[in-house]
Amino acid sequence: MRVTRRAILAGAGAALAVPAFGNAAPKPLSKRIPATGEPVPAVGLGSWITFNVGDDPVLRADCRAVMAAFFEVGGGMIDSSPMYGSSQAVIGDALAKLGRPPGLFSADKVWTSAANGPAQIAETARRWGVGRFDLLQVHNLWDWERNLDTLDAMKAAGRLRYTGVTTSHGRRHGELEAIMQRRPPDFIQLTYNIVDREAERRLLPFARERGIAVICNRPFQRGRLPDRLAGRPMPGWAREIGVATWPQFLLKFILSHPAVTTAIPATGRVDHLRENKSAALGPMPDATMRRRMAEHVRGL
Amino acid sequence: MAGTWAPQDFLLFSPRVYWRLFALENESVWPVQVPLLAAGALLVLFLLRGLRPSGRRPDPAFGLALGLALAAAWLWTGWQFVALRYGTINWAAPTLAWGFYAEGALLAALGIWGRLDFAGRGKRAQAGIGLLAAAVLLWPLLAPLDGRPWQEAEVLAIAPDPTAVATLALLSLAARSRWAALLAVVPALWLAVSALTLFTMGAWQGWAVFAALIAGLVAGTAPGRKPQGSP
Repeated sequence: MRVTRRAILAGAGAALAVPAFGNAAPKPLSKRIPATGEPVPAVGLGSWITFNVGDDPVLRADCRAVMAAFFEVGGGMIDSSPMYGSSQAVIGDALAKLGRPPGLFSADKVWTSAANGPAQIAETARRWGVGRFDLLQVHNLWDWERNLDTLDAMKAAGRLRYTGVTTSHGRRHGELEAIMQRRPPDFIQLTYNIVDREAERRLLPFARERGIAVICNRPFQRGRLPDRLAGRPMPGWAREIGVATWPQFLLKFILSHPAVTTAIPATGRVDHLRENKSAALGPMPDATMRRRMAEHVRGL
Repeated sequence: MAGTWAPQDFLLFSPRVYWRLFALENESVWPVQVPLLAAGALLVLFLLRGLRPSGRRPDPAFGLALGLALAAAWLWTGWQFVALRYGTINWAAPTLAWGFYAEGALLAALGIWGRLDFAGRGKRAQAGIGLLAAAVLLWPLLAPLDGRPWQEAEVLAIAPDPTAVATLALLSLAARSRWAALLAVVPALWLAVSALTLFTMGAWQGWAVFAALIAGLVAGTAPGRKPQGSP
């Protein structure tokens, strides 16, 4: 294997991805972005459906409360897309009303042809109220080659920090692998959770090898997994990894994969946000425990 | 999972957000719901009287007035609810609203042209009046029947579903013609889209919309009166 700076940083990132123990308050897990070594909280915040609340002042206040709680516990990546209806505007509105708290890693996408990409990116930035995104991704590989040209040019000009490409639902993994091979972005985003584990075969090891950060979407299969597990007893051995609830169980499985940088569960509830964030605390499962977790869920 | 999509994966919003749209819209136009419901109920009574052998048949002026009223309902609902309200959570909605504008324009044009009479009698007309009564009186009850607040009630000429149901209902009172068939296209398509959306949301109201669509199509295509003077 060719040893690259990215690969070295990736290894360092994995080594540093161990939570601190001691007398201080527990420190939530952060992982390092292989391209730069920059740490990013392991649990981010998605906005698909949950933040698409239109102009509704009551529901916007709910979303703002979720974001306030998110920043209270360290913040991290907030991810959206032009495809997500009003989510971008809701995020931008909340950021403005919260006084642009520190700890934001802004991530959005370009979801159009490359010809329309710059205009869409400008509109996205206007909705968020940010001058420069931390990460822009090509949504679902749409016109990916030429859209990546745009994002690379923005990055070279200092108008963007990281580039990425996304897919979801396990689709187009072959194409994503080809992009990672030919033209590796800083981030990839894909669906990975305790039952959707196709990415473990090739993409996650390959991302680690190439030094590409990995964002995991649909960690709960849009709520289906916690619903399926609700009411079932938590196995006693889950206490070994500090797990008390099924969402924590599901997130710890994802976060403990060495190639995974961050997971972005979406929620419109403060209590769920805090529960999700708490999955980044305490010990993480090792490989043996991860197998046990997956087998347990498969058997339910 | 491997590369598969479920209908739910195309839904951009949660049921709570969708239902709240009606509360926001109702709040913005209150208290216009009261005269709208009264006018809808009076229309049902007037049409029922017309079914009696001794009842007075609606005249051309009635056709013009009702055509223009329906046109206004489609234009208003398409612009205010579908494009501006629904459009905040569904980027496809402003495009869908063009169907509403087309329906409104066609209704107005046919009303002015004298091609709408709504003077049908017989079983087909009875079914149509029953469906109209459902659009006017039953649809606002769907929210409380679902355990949601009255503020989320769907009212004819404010919400798109009862507007579409009422239009299909009234078309079954009109003489069968290619114009009546053309006027049924947009309401039927909207109700199909709405039923699919509601089913995807897991909302039982999808069955009400689906049943109204089928009833409207059956009533509209049943044998009935032909235009006066046609061969």
